Amino acid sequence: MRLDLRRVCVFGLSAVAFLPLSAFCYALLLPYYEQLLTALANVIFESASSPLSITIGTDGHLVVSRVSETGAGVQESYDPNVLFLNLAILPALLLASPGKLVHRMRAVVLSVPALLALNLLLFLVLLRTRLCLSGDPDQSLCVWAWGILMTSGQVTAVLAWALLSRHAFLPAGSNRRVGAGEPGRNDPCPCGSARKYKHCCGG
Amino acid sequence: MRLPRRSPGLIQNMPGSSRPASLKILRGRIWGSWLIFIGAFLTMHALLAWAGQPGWEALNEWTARLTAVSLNLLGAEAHAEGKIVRSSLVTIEIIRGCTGIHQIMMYVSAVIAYPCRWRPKFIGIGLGIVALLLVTQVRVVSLCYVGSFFPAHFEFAHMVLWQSLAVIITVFLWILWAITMTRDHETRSS
Repeated sequence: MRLDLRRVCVFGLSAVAFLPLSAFCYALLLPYYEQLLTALANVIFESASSPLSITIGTDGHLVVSRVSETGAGVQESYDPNVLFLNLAILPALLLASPGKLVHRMRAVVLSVPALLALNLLLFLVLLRTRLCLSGDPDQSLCVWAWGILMTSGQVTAVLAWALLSRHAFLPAGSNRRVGAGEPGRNDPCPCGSARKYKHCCGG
Repeated sequence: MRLPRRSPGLIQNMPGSSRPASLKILRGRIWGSWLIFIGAFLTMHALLAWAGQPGWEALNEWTARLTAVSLNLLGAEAHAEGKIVRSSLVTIEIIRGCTGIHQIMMYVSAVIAYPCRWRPKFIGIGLGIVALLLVTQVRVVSLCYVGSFFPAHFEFAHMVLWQSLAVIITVFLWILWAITMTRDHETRSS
């Protein structure tokens, strides 16, 4: 597929058009995502005999309670949007990507559970990292882990979109199996240049 | 037409892309680009963490000053006090996420990861940062208006809608840069 300015603009506008729908569905489902995350995270931390417990605060934030080295209880609050935002961004990007609607819908349906699992994994890894660093806000490594957590939702959405829709944005023929369906020398070139294959990519 | 010795990027009509060797190169480049992207992104995060609180404060105050200027241009009497912007619409505090630094980091990482020469990368980074700063200004100013006229929807617009939109615009800008660069290359090579 030849990627030109018009297609890119259509993609951008479609993504913006799909975003309100995607964001609305995300806002509806966010409490369920949070409940699932807290339930799974608590099961994992209980089995790991970790001094962590995760609950949902009255403002909807994820509240991580832990016991500090001095024995005092410490609470940290995490905005769930920074973690789960990929579930609003990715559907909009996928639905706007070139390709058949059925394939795009399938990609959306399949990517949501995968992203949920990834979010859980990221959350646990970064919480453990902060725990290992004693959650000291003056430690650069701690700030680093916090920064990654703050943007993980955005980056994983972009990376997942790049992974799922890479063939739609690659030149024609690059996603074909090697040796299968090689065009004839006088056939139109699959790159979309409107020239014969032998005079273009097959030359 | 002479074939270029080095292909400039992934998103293009890569000469010989249907050949097995080129396919392998292409796929290798995709994975390589992802690794470079993640590496660059984590490095920039590390630099930001190293800059610490003074770096963040400076960034927040600079964004607040820009926001005050933008609001004044639109007729809302505004002035910045540190990282707080007071205007006739609403009083807001600029925090880390409002500066657009995360989107800039994402964009710069993506541009660095794209397999091409450094000159177009520098141009892309410069223009992209300016564009993303403008997007950030539109975002903050529009949120001031949302906060003033639709306060009930502020949280949704702030945390979900604009955050997502900023990422989509970042992706769009990157693709735009990539195809513009590819087009330039095709023009030169044909």
